[in-house]
Amino acid sequence: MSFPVLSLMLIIAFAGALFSFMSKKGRDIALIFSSIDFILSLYLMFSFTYNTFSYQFMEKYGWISTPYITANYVVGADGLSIPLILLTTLLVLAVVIYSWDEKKNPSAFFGLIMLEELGVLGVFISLDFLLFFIFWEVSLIPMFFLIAYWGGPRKNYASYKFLIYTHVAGIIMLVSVIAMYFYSGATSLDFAAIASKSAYIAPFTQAVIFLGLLFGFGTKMPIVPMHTWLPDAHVEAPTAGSALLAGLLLKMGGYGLIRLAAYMLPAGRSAMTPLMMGIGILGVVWGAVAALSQTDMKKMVAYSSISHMGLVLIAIATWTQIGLMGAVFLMFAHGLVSAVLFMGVGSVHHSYGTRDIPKLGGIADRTPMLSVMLVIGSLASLGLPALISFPAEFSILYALFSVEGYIVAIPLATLTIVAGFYIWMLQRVVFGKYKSRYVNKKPHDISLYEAIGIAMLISLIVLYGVLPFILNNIILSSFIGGMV
Amino acid sequence: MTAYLVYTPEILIMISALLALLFDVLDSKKLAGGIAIILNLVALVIILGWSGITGSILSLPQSGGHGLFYFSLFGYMFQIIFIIVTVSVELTTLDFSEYNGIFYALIEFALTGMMIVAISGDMVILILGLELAGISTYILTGYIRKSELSVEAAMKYYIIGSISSSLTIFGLSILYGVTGTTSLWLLNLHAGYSYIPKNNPLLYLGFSFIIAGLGFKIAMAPFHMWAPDVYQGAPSPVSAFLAAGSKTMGFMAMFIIFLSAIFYFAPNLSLLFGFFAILTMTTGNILAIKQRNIKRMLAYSSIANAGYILIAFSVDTPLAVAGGMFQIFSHAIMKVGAFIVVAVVSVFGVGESITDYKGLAKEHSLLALSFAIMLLSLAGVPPLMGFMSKFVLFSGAVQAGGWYILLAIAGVLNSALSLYYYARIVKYMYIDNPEPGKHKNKKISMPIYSYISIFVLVVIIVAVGIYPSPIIGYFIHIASQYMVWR
Repeated sequence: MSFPVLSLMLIIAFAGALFSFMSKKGRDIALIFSSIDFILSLYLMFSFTYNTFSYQFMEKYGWISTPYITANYVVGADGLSIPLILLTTLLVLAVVIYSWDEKKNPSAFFGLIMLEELGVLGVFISLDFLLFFIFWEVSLIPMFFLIAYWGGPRKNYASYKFLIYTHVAGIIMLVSVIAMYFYSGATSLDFAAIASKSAYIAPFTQAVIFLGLLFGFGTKMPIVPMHTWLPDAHVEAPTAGSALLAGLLLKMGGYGLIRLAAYMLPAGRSAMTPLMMGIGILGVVWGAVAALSQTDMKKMVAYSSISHMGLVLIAIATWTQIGLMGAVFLMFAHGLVSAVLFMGVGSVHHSYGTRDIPKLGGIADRTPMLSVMLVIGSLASLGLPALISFPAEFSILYALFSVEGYIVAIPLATLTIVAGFYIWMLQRVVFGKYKSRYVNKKPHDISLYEAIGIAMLISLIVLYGVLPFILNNIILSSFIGGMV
Repeated sequence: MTAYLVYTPEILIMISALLALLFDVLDSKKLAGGIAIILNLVALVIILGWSGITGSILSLPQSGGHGLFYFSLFGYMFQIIFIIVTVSVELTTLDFSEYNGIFYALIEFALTGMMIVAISGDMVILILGLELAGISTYILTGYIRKSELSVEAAMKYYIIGSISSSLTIFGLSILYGVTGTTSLWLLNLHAGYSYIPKNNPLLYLGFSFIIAGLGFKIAMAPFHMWAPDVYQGAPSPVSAFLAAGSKTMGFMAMFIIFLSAIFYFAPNLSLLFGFFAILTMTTGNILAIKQRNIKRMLAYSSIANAGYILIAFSVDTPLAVAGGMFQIFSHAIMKVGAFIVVAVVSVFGVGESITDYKGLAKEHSLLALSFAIMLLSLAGVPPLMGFMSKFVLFSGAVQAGGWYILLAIAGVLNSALSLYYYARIVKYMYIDNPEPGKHKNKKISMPIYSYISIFVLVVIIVAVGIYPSPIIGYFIHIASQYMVWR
């Protein structure tokens, strides 16, 4: 067993949370610890062995061993999780820098962000279901507090709604996996142990279990009938909370759906493919149309997330190599882009005292740097070539075309709506005539810390947009090859 | 003489009760409480030794029957729970001036009764223990004589409790009339013999009375109405004892009667218990949401937990029974801890309304943290003990397959519902600002003994949550042994 880098990352995140809570200078500690985690994830990225179809950086220790229930402490990473781990550490670092000037109880704020990092990292690296579920729930509580304490006027309602929706989803998933564990006769709750037997469960049972998992993970993603918590949570959450929520928590759903549901239950997946496809397309259209009609910029970005997650669901439903690659890529891309957009919107709100599109106008006049970032974020989100979303969306649409044929026309046409609402928003908010009647008489441009936080993400958006193969190779060479 | 050594723990506790009476005359409260706690801990060490958890200091046969008594790991496990609960409550009350020697005498008598139920092998002994524990707790409930609520609660509890006892006794007497024996393990042993009629309708009448009688004890819906009133009116340490001790005793009696003794006569009770499980947990959780009084809320959460535990009676597989016992254990620990916190914060001028807990974390951060851990554990948030016990219990239901999965789904949905009202308190403590005029920081001596007991309970909750392997294994071991016995 080599250097236990993954456990070290968890310990550092936990220590960061603990020390931030206890110290007066929470932000310094959060910055140091999240930087260490980011450096460690870069180490993971560069020491990753390509073309091996197995988990790397594995650690395994006995944890629970009883006659009926066996679970181990197993962590590891593969091509599916490496991009998401990188996304997690990067985003947390960027959020910490962005929120540098947080005034309201900063120690607790940064402590909760680090705790969030612990939960999300844990979800992406654990290879045992019980461990996975523990981290899944750990990621819930800090976000509840971030919304409930630092949130907007309706924070009470939004935080409980978030908590109950995602908690119900989580425990339905828990029951489904327990069923998968017992009916497959697996020897432990290890992912590997379940996966080696779960394909032999009777097809009907598989379909039922798959439905439970789709409900559980889908609510988190979120897919369309269960999405209503997302706009509320986003609108009320503080900027850092929104960025983490859209950037990381939604990815947990997609990740779980690929790794636990679609991979482990092939018969269930093929039975549910039409449903997933339908819900996915519905989500793409619904999210885009709903986004078009929003006047609150934050709500608009939230609905565009629903649209993008619909694309991820479609990609998983195709279950082709290129489609899955697109799904992981889009999750990564959406994590960066939505974080940039939420941060940009947060800065607009901060500078002008409103996020209401009709009340804004011509902000490029006074806050040029912020406007540039908002434009880049919007262009990246609508899938402009040479920015990160384009290769992801292209491969998903390609995969959909190769599997379902001309149905691809629906999401493809919807992309024009996506482009439409972003460009329309830019036209009304950023460009045009400067409206002088704002709450803040003298709008200030984005602060240095906010700019650094956003710029970090934008640089990667451009980098991966121009050179997508850096990420593609990781995803394609290890995980997908072994799976499809 | 050596044959009587098996009763050492019970005798020790009885002695501590009598000593407490003596010290009450001498007006020495600390001595009464201290000696009771020490003797309880000695008994605990002996029992831990016998149950194979630690090395034993008195080497005796671990299990076996002595006619009226039956010694097994199962009984010892429950005795351990009772002693932990009692010692925590006694430690807390050492800090409060209103409890004197007689309190410790009563609580030790109640403990004796519970210990006797745990080792009973005969209906008569079972009833004896139930009554001893019951009568002592009626008096304890009305312990604060000047409080109207306390006296009202005592009256209510006394009336309900005696009715439920008489129902239980009546049910058991019907059982005796039909089968001709009061010995629980003979009933089980001779179940296959022809002289015991299987389809006698009188048996079902008897079962109904027993279920109703013990249902009152465990606050199973629809027999739960008394619990919130009594838990609210009783002094908080007594509420802790009732919720964690008395209720556990009721469950233990149900385990003894239903899952071992008359199991063979009653194969159709599965559906009935499943119905009661869902009804009880749903009632408890839905009503808990509406409560404005913290003790009533905890009472309803206790009812909800009774519902979860009833799943074990319905599913009745080793894993589910192990989960049920684990849930009983974790519920006892968490609930006694929660009520102790309620008792301690009242010293600092925090009232019983849930809004009084607003901003608690700003002034009493350790108490708030402990309370938050206990509440989140009750809600089943990992990695705490409450999650692990629910995980094992619901796993048992899923493993059994068939319609039992519905029980697991009802359980998890209820547990999601419960997160709302537990998280609300946590949010009040950490996020909201205290209401003006509350939290008068009176200059009082630190309740140091209460802090010790809260600390120990929190350590158990976190440690078992993070490393549950030995305790899950132990419960599965007991459950398997228990299933073999029958």
